[in-house]
Amino acid sequence: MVVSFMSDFKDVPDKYCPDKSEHIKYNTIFRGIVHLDKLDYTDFLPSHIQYERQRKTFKNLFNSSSDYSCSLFTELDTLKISVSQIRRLRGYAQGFTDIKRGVSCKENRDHHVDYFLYDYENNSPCDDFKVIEEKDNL
Amino acid sequence: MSENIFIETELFGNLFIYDVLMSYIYPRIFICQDDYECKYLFYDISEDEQKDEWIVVKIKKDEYYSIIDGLKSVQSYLFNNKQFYVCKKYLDESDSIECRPATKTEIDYISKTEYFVKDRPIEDIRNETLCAARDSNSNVFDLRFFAGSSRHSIPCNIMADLCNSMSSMFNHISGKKTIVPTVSTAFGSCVVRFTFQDQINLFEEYESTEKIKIMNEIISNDNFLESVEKVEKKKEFISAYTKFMQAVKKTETNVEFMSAFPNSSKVKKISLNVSEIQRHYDDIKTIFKTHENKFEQFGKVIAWDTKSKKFKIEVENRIISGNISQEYDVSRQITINENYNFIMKKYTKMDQSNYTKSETYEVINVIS
Repeated sequence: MVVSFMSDFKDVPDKYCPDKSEHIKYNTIFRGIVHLDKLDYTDFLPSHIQYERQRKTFKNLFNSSSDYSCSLFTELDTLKISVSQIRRLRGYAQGFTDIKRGVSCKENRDHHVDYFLYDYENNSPCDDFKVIEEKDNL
Repeated sequence: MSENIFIETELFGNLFIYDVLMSYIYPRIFICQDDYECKYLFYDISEDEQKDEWIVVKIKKDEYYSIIDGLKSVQSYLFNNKQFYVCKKYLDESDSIECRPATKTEIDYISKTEYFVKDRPIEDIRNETLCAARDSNSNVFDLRFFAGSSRHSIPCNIMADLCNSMSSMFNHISGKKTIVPTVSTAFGSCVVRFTFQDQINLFEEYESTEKIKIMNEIISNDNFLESVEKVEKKKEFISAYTKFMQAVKKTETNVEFMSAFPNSSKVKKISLNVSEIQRHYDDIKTIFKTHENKFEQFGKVIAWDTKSKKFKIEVENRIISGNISQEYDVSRQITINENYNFIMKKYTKMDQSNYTKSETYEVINVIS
């Protein structure tokens, strides 16, 4: 990754800053979410806030790069398989990515996309997504 | 030592993370081990950010292997072994740990969707190799060990031998030093991947392409002496190839050799089982011995001298000459320019001083 101009990102270490040139816009993309009634920024919260405790618990097994990005999937079926074992997630939302929110990178072979958000709290992508399906937590 | 402890429980004692089976930001399904190397399967059922909750079952070693080999889902043991509930609450002053038998409500939080270990082997391994070649725009040569399982590691000394011998072999095929391939391990089973990031010439050919093809011929050919003919520096190559096959043999598993090229859609796959690998290794070790091969050959007699025990026959526009066996009945009349079916032996050996191959023929018998 190329180090970008730091003011784009809030408190993100250099090594996790993708350059804006890496941004790929996705018009249809999916995310596992917690709130079925109304999405808020906590559905896209970068894990360095949400998972600070787990970082202490799991130490070097904690994926630090995902502190500053939320996981999206280009295929709904792949998302369902990936989160099938995660009880906390209650549903799936569909939306799009936008450079004004952050940088969404090239998808990998597992249809996974890292979406690095500039300011997860004040510039959340929650308005760009809507809940499409409830997760079957059976 | 205490830094490595994952969790301290009253029931199980100190637990250390042994293997992670599924991770989503952090480990969600994983294996822990206690001070006595007993294994525990942890399954995350957390809902609340304030605490981590797991269903934990004790599993045996063979049960652990059945999970990582992709034979059994984690649910197979979560529902059938005795379940415990472990909870870590994050409090301001210090965290609290709870560990007790799980209730039915808590057990019901386990997903009924069966989860098999994520890195289970890719069935379409050819496509994986081809994708790797195209993504890197380089020739790729994969060695796949433990096919059909989720084992993804080999001892480091074997890895070192594979890497050293691979680099050496490819140098000696052409007789000149070439770019050193990079090595990586690839997703799915135990795949050791050699990537050749060499330059392409004006004809859009990679230098390593021809070498990989020669390598494939050598691996797939039963006759090592014949297949190694295209190698420039035979002595050095044979030394490196011996080490290579020795390392492969040490894994004690069937091996798949796959090669892919970014400019082609074809992927070459050569499968060798354990006994075939052993035979390859034995063949290399005995290359200086004379190899004997008996066969039948139809041809026209050009010369036949029973006194000097020499013969010459014409076979499909080429000449074969050699010796007439001592056991041959010389009273049998042979007519020059006539065709016969000959029972022959071919003796092949490699000269130890200059590593050149020599072949000699012997007629054992003649059928009318």
